[in-house]
Amino acid sequence: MNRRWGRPSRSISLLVCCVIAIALIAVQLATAQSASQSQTYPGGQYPSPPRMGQWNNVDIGMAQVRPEDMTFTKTYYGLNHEDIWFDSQLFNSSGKYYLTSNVVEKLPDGSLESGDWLPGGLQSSPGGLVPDPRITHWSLGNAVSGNENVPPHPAPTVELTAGHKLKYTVHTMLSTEVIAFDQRTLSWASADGKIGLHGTIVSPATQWLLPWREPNGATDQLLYLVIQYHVSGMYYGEQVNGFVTLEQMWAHVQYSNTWAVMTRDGNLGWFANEYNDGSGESGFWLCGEYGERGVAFASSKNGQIVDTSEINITNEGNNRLLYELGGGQTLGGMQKWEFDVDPTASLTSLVGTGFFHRLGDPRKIVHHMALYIDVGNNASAPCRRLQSK
Amino acid sequence: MRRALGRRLAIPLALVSVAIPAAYATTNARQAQDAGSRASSQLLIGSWHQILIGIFQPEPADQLVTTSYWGLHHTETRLDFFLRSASGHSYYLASDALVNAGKNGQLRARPWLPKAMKSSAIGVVPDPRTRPWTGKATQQMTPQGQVQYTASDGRTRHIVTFDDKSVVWQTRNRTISLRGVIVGPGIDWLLPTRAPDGSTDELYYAAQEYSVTGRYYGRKVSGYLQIENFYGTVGYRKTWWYKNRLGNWVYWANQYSDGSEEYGQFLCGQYGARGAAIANNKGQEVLETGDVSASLGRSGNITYTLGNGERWKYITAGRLPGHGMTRYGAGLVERLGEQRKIVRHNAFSMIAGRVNGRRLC
Repeated sequence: MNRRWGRPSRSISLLVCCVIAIALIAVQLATAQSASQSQTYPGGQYPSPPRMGQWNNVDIGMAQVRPEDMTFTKTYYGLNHEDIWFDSQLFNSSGKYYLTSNVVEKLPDGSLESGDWLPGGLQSSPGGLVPDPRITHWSLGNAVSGNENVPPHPAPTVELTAGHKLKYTVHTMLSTEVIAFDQRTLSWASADGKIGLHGTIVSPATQWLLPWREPNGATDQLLYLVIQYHVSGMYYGEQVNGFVTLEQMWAHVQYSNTWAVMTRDGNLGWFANEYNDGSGESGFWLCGEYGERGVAFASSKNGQIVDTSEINITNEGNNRLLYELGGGQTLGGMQKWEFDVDPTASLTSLVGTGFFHRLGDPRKIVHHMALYIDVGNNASAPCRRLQSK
Repeated sequence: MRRALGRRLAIPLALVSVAIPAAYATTNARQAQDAGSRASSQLLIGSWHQILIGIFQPEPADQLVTTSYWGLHHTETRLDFFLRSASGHSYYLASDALVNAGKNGQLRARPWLPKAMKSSAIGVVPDPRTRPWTGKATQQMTPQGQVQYTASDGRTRHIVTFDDKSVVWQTRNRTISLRGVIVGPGIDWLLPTRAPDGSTDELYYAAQEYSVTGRYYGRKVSGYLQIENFYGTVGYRKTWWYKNRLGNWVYWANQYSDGSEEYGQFLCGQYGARGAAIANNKGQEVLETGDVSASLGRSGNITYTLGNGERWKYITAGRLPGHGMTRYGAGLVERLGEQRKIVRHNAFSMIAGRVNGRRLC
């Protein structure tokens, strides 16, 4: 270390850590930047009328999940199970927000690898999301620590237990974490006792199928599934309440390497709410180009409550986004939902978290979670068109 | 119009002496129907309530039989025409297929309907002047950038040449000479399915319709010609969906008194076969929705309610020879409350499987 600079102070370390983390998040979330111009369409849109194999929306709907349908050997339409993300969005008793996103991915040889999707954990602060230094990395050993003395960890494992749960065991730098889930419950525990979360599924899961056609005529597709569990328990010494989101993807390559992700342009996100009548709702939306358009929300009581390719998002200012869902070509008329962004738990314009609710809903929301990602050229004015005559 | 069409086409099926292959697996269908009723309320991963449907520009380069989509290879192309004589008293229907079973572009010609049909005093019957397609067929891109199919019926060679604007269908012996222009963009849909055993598959379908005039066995005719392309991991009739399909599928075209035209496809069935799209002759998408409901009337008419709130009606002109558990019909599809007068039309409807009650999906 250069003597002039000496040992970096804790505040400088934290600042560097923040900058690196935010840069990594930006890279991770905005992989659109990695697509060259030749890989995208003029104007950033499919032509009109589209060519064969080009649609302006996804096939989307709810799904009942069964553990045997989510193993790494299960394929859909010839697509392989490539990734599963474990995301936690938790609140402590004083309302402080914690966000993590880790991934287990399949390698070309069929083995599994664990890693950080977001670099470590994030926490709310007056200036927005900042790194949470307590969080244990999922990325393998010395690749993250930079310390050659830290050996690579054993690869993660997954098994279908005798109790008919999917059980992931992930070896981190400091501990081992075990996540087990089925169509009803989820538990997440670390061997060092820092994580002990238990919860139940909020509502049926949401799935979408995105086929696309690239400018060179090549076609490919991905199948995506998201499940929300309402959890509570201990998290690094604090009692917390919140949600764990499981995202899973089937494709021919890992998520980040798909053309759809590299060229993504728009707003996508998810939410989960628990109401004072005991019911829960969760869902997913996409509002972007190249077919990334569609919404499906489901209720624990009433099944699917929104299923449409018609979505428009208006930034109304003051950290409020208005979502208009359905209307023109969807039976049941338009529903209006609002995303109230929590600036203390968001990251520039890329990632917003907060409170997502249906306007006019008389029920009281007792637990909530919502997150969106805005990427691409159109991100600041996402997805303005409703399909109509 | 309904009554006039009915007089021309309506026939009891028993009177039609056409040998139709019974490809339908009844037991399989019943099992699947049971699974489907559960699936309708509890869809598992990889099963859906609706298809992906929309319009497309029918670029010839996209319709070469060597082109695949999402790993689904071209399995067959069907060429269908629906013609009426100048007097309006005669009706002709044919559907021939070019099967790409080897996945390598080596085409074989086959009839889809066993024979071409024509109207008669007792209804629609096989047309003895025609012969089923057979033998090798070819596809090539012409120097003008058009797709050209050639196939033989054993007596003469059929040459069908088309692009995104026009079509010509001629036989060497001049028995058929049809020319036309495209009604509007084509309509394509992707149907992903999950079978009861958990296996999944996809079917991709893309079709475009042309308004045609010309001569057919010495008579002046006008009507519609549709080109349908199928893509899959197996041939259409071997797909799980085809073997188990339940519900209704209608495609249609209308020309209105103001010169405008529309081409549409409505599907209202089980296992995700639900969706509707309409294109017009301005190149626009009039409608695209996964919200479709349909009810079958005692008369055989079908009333549709689409996601935009519009109600449409299929008015049957009569049943056509069926195919196993599939019932075919011809007629008219009209928007309820439509102010424009329909001056030319075509609609081809099929109802597959044991539809339970009047509700088709």
